[in-house]
Amino acid sequence: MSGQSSEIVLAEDDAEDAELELLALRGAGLSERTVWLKDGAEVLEFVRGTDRYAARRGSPHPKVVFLDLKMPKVSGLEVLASLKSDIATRCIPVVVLTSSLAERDIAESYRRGANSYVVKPVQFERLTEAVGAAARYWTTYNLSRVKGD
Amino acid sequence: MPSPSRLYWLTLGAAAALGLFCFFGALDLSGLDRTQAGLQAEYIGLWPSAAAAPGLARQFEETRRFMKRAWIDFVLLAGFGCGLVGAFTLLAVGERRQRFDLESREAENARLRDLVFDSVAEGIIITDAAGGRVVFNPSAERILGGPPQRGGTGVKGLYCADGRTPVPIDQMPLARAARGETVEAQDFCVKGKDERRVYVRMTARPLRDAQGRLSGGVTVFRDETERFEADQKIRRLSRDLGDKSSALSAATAEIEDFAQSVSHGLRAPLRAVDGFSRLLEAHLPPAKGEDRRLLSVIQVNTRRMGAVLDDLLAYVHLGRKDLEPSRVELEPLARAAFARFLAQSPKRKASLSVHELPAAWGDEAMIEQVLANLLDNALKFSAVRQESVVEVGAGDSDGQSVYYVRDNGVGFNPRYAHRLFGMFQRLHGPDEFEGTGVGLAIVARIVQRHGGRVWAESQEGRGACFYFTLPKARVS
Repeated sequence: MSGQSSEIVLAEDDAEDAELELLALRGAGLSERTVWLKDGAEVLEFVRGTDRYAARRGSPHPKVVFLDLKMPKVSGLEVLASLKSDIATRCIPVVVLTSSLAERDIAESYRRGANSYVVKPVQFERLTEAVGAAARYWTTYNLSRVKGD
Repeated sequence: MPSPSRLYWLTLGAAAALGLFCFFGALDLSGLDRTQAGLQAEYIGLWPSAAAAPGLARQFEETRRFMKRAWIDFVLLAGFGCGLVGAFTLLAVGERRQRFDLESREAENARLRDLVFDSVAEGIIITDAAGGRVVFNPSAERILGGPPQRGGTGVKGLYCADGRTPVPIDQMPLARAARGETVEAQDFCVKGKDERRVYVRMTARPLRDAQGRLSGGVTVFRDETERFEADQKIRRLSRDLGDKSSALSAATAEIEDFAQSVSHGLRAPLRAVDGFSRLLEAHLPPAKGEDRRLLSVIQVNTRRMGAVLDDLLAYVHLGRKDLEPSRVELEPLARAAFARFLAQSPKRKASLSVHELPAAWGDEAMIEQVLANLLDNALKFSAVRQESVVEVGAGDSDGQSVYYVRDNGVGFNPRYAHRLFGMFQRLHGPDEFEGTGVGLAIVARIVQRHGGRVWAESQEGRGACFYFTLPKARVS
């Protein structure tokens, strides 16, 4: 097993969106700690335990990563490709959480191995509902795969 | 020249006359008996009595026998000779007649060949192996606008079908044929003196004599100018059409990109407005009633704007999505959509009756969208009634199926029926009925993409009926 991680990663560059999404995750009544990361590079460092997150080396993988597509430095799609092509991080569930309804973004995300694709609803209640449901599913109902499988 | 039949009869007649003459001559002599001969001899004084001159009588008898044999021999010989002459004559006449028939047939064939050569629409040019002699027909002269050239090339000013590249002299079809090559139906352009362009399709073959030796070449061609120019026109038009259609799809793609960016750009701030107004509302003390109302106005409008953005995006997206046609049964789609809407407002009283619906040929997801939008509409505008009564049925028109969705709602003024299916067109205020004014535009767009039509009939206050046509499902 990838370890009994108690972390959910939220990768979001927009502070206001992040605040609402964090509220939504908190409102979903999950016991896991939510970590907010502001760009793609930070996500990769966090997951791999390098640079700014060297102290995390060897820690269990997060239970799920909520990934915005449009982020500075390393974009969401690049993070996705990087996580899914690495045998060590391939098993981490990645939920793409974006405003984009573009067909090519949806197709490209799944091609690169996204586990879910959720479009951020405009209404706060719906956002809470969508993010909460996705988080509950991946942290509660879904069984993590064996590391490196 | 005597006719062969007259000569034949003449010869036959002469031989018969000669034969008859000999026959009667022989009969004349052989028929005399001894008594008659004795009487005759007595009468003429040569034979006084048989007893008186027995020697003379015997001599006479011998002479007579000899004469008779000689005569018979002569007659046989003459008859044989006549027969021989007749047979030879007949043989000669027969052979001559055969030759004559053959010659006259050949002359007739040659005359026919000349006639064909002169009258066919194809131009024909024939040359000898050296290229010195050129024979051509009137069509060749007419098509080329002048007599063909000597020198084995046949045609002066011959260009490739592009009308620009001149054909080298040794590559001209007639020259190649005269060298023993075969040229199969190639297109060429001939430029006349007056810059007139003639397009021809040429075929050329070598000519060989009876011993199989190369004796020249022939080229046959027809005037294809009209067909060629029509082809060029079609090619030009389809190229233009291709350019226009790629420009159009580029423009559509641009519009979709634009709609995506606008939608994305507006949705994020809207989400913030909605989300933070909710947070603010949660922080407000319960007493602040007016403040709460103001916040709810913000929230309602945010929601409406979000819905408009979603519908706009869906509408733009429809234009580019490829149709995935298959056989579609509409009844289960209609029932499922209706059940979905009712589940959202369980307190609503509504009934749906579905008549027999023929299967359609189209994109199932899109047709489902059409039914969902029309049923949503029907339920929305009949919400004022105690019970919404919705009816879905079908008919037949011009080989397509006509489907309808009827409700007992508020209806609309038929004067504005033409505005129903336009983008953002609404016949009722947002305070009366919710909506973005895109639902029916999406319906119209989907139906039009399937080659169908949409229209609606209503009287104000008496319900409305929306019609759409779709192609019938193919019989598999």
